Amino acid sequence: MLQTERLTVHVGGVRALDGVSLDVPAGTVTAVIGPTGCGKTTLLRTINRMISLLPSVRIEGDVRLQGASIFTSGMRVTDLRRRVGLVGADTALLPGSVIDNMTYGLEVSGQWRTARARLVRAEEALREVHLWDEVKDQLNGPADGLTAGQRRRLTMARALALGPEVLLLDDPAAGLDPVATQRIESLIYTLRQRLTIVLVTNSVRQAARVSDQTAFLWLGRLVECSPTSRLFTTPAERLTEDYVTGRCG
Amino acid sequence: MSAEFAPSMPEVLGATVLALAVSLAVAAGAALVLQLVPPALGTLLRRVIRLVGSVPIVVMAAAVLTALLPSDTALSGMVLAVLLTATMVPVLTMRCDGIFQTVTRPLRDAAAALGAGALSIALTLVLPAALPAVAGAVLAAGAQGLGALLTLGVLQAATGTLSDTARLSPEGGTFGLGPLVLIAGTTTLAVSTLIGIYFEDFSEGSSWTRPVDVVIAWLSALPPLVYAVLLVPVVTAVRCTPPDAWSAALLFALLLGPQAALAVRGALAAVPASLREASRALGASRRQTLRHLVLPAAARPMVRHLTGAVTRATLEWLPFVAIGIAMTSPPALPAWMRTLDTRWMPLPGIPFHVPASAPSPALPDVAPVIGLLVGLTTVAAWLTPAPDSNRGRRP
Repeated sequence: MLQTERLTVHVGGVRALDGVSLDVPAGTVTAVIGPTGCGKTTLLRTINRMISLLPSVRIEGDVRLQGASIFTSGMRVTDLRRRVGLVGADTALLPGSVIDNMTYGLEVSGQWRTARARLVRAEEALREVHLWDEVKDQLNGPADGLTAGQRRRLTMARALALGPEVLLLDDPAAGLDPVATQRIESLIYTLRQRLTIVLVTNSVRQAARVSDQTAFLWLGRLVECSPTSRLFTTPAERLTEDYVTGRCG
Repeated sequence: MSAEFAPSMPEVLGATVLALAVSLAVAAGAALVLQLVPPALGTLLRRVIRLVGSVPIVVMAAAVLTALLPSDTALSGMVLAVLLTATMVPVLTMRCDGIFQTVTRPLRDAAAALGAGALSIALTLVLPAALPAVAGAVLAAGAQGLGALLTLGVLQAATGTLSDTARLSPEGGTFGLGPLVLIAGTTTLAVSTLIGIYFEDFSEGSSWTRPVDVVIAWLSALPPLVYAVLLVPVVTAVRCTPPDAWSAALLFALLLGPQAALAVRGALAAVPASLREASRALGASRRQTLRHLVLPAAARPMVRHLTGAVTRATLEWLPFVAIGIAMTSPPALPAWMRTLDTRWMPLPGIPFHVPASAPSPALPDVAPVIGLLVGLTTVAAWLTPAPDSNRGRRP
């Protein structure tokens, strides 16, 4: 579904990723773990080309989505970002109401031409993240009136409404309480049935709970990527074992 | 320079340096005090200072000249220094306070959490971080203040070098002065808005944006006197006609353009980078993000900033046009303006006025002053940090 091939990314002269080759099978959850600054977020931002809008970025290697390079001129970056949705822990709410947030992406995509069609799609996405019942009476209320957990699910719904093939989640449970975290994880579990998910997380336990395979990054390099059960029980690399057991990182 | 224009060039230089030093001390001190007073009092004081500081510097200079200079005082270097200091302090205090405010709250909180008091935070954290910008603001304010003061005298001396027909004529141009300036202003606003939008939202990553930033800051800080004095001979040489309403319109456009571009950029930069990022992550193009999100969010501050730019440019522009009209075609003016040149321009006691029949200095005589103004402005523009742009902070 998604492959990175010897992906090296320099940001502002600093090598943030160093020859990362990663294969993400369709319909799976791939967790990316590693200490802060190891390149997890850079990897996500490279996969949907948000990174290329930063100044002084140089990318070597390739990223392939269903076999096609995302860096070719035939791949429109706006289409790519609809096919590969990105939800970050710090993703901002857009100004306006809950429904404004939901319909913005649909409107600019030009695929949902009528307001009615956009509202229907927005409702489907809100139901998918189990947010509809909580916000259906305040759709026209300000989005920033929602709780932190609801906001996080709203940003996920916003991305899901566009019908992505791949969903990139950058620490989606950061700063949330255990109940809200559990909701997010259940959602990931549900979404895996129809989506390919790449999950960056600072919680090793969360990676163990929700992912099918786990990639461990260290100083921009991919140390190991294997099925989650194997990586957490019999890792191939000593460094991986030290990290997942909390002896380093 | 005219014999009636008392200060010599060394006196102008000395007065400028003295005024810069005193103004810096007073303004920086006042701005630091604003950091230390209780928030409610600080808010009140800031409102007052911003109200005074927002007055265009040429108006401030005229007010200071009228209020502070006794009618029989000649304009010596020391008097010029006092006038310049009084002109600069309000605007400089406002700018220093604005610069100090850019040291973010989290940074101050972090220092406070480490046990630093308000004064030590101000002296060890805020002041050093803001120093280059403060230096730039001081030089820019100095150039503008000096330019504004000298406008009231040197410009007349400079225009006195030209023949009577070479001065601004209100009949010039096909459209007349009013419509022509309206057209020039509208066109300038449109072009400046597009330039501001391009630089704020479409130029990230370009290596030439910083030099252009400096040039725009430089042009916007250049005292109107420089534009006016240089414009007249340039227009005369290029168009082979005496300066007319077209020149006045061009002067207005030159005064308005850089200000308007900065105003647009300021309003766009205030839209958080995270909103743009959220929009782009949802597959919106740069243009869609601008149209659907950034422009609606920036519309109100943009209108407010542009109104300020138009007001400032108009107030800076009016004295020059009034001089030209009053000196060339008194009958074309309403009755109350016919004696403008004797009632206002030669302000009471200011021995700047050069009667049309009197021998006048040539342009080279004012060149050192213009050079000083351009030099101060250039250094100021270089020291001034780029506008608080989203460029480089957002994907």
